[in-house]
Amino acid sequence: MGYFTKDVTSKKAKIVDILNLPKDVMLDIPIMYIEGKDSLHIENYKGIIEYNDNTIRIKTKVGIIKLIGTALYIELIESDEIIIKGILKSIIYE
Amino acid sequence: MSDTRKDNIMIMWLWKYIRGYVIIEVSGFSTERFINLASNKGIMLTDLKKKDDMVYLSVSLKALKMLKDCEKKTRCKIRIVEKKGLPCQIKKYKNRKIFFCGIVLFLLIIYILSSFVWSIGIEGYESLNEYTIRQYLADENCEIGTLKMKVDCDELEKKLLKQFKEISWVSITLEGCNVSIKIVETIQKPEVDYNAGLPANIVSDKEGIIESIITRSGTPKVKIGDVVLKGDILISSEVENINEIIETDPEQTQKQVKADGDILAKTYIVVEEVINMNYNKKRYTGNVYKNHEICLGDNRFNFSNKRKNYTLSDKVCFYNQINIFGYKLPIKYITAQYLEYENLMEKYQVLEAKKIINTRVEKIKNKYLKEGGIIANQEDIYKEENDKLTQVTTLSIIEKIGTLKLADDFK
Repeated sequence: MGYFTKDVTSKKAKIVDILNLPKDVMLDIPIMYIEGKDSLHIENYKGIIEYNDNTIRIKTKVGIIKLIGTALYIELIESDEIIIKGILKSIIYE
Repeated sequence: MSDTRKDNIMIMWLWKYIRGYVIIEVSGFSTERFINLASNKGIMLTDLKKKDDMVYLSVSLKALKMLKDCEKKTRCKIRIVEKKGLPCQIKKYKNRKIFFCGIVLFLLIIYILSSFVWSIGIEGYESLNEYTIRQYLADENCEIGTLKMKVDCDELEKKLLKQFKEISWVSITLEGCNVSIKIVETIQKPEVDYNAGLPANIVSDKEGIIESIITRSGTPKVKIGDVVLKGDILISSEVENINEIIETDPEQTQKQVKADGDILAKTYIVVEEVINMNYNKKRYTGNVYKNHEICLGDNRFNFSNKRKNYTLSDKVCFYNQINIFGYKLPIKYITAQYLEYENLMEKYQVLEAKKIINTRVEKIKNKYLKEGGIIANQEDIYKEENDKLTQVTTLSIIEKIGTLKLADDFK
C-alpha cells in the first residue's frame, strides 16, 4: 500500500481500498497531474504555505509538497484545485 | 475530469473575457494567506505572478467585492492595475453608438443588395440570337434587378424549352448574383426526301439554247442546238426496258426512273439601270458643336447651356461606360458631336455617272455568275436623256438549267 499518514491505517481507509472506491473523494487525498516539465495540476489541496519564484509549498492532506524550479507562477487557483506552471526542477514530499 | 478544463485554455479565456476581469496587485506581509482565503471562498484566481514581494492576479469583476474581506483579514492592500474584458469595452464604446449603427447598416446593405440578380450569363447558343433569349427572359421576369427569390430556375428551364424549339437541353443555375444559363441546341434533322424513289423528269425552267447535255439516268429528249422554252421536258423518266423483259414481265417494254443529268444552255438576260445626273452632294461646313451628357441608367443629364441647332447636321456619339473589374455600371459619359453640312446640287460628269452605273450592273452580273454560269457575251448600250443616264446590258450566260419534276402519274 505504501501510505504514511495516520488516516490511512484507519478502518475507513481499508474499506475504501478493498471496495476500490475513489480515494480522492472518500479520503480527500491530493491527485497530481504532471505534464512534462512545466505543468503541475493538484486537486484537493488545503492551502498555500509559501509562494516564490523558485519555491512553492502546498499543504495537502498527506503532507506538504514542495516544488522547486524557476519562473514558477500559478495559473489558476480555485477552492480545491491549483495549477502551477513554470520550469519544475523537483517535487519533494516533506 | 477536471483536467479537460485546464486543457481548454481558449474556452477559459473566452469565458473570462466575456464576463470581464480585473488585474489586481496585492501587496502586504502575508500574501499567501490572502490567496488561501480567497480560494477558500470559492473565488477563481488566475495568472498568479509574484514580483518583488507583490502578487499580481486576475479575478472576475464580481469577485472583487468579496476580496474586500480578505483584504481586511490579512491586512493586504489591493490595487487595480487594469480592467479587461467585454463589459469594459462596451462602456468605452457607449459614446460611439453611431459607429456601431454604421456597421449594422453596412451589413444590412450588403445583404439587401446581394439578394438581387446582377448579371445573366448565357452560353452555348449558336443559331439562336442572344437578344431574343434575353428578351424572353425579361418578359418572364428574369432580368438584371429582379429579386433572386422570384427567379424560379426549374420553371424557367421548362419555359425556355417550350418557347424555343432549337433548344434541346437547358440548365439554369443561380450562382451568387449571377444567373448562369447553359444551352445545347438540337441538331437539325436532315431533310427527308420523300420523293427519292419516285420517277421524275427534268424539266426546263428557263428559255435558251442547249449547249451540252449529259444524261446519267433517263432518256434525253433534246440535243445540242435545240431551242427550249420554259416547261419543256429535257430528260424523260421513261426508259426502254431491254434487259429485264424476259425475266419479269414480257409485255412491259418501258419502265420509269428518276431522271438525272446536267444540262447547260445559253440564256439571255437584259439588265437595265438608271441614274440621275443631278444629285445632292453633302459638304461639311466645318462647324462642330460638342455636347456632353452623363447617362445614369435611363436618365440623361445634359451639361451644355447653349444649344446650337443646325438645320442639317450629322450627329456622332462617343460612349464611355464605366467598368469596374469587368462589371459594367449603368453610368455612361456621352460626347455628342454635331457636324454641320449643307447640300449642294451637283451634276455628275458623264464618265463618272457611267462608272457608278457600271458597278451596279456588275453586281447583278456577279449574282448570276455565283449561281454557276459563264458569261458568253455582254453588250452595253448607254442612253442619255433629260439628265438621266440609262445603261441597258444584254448578257448571254451559259448556265445550268433544269429542275426535277415528278412524272405525271405520280403527281
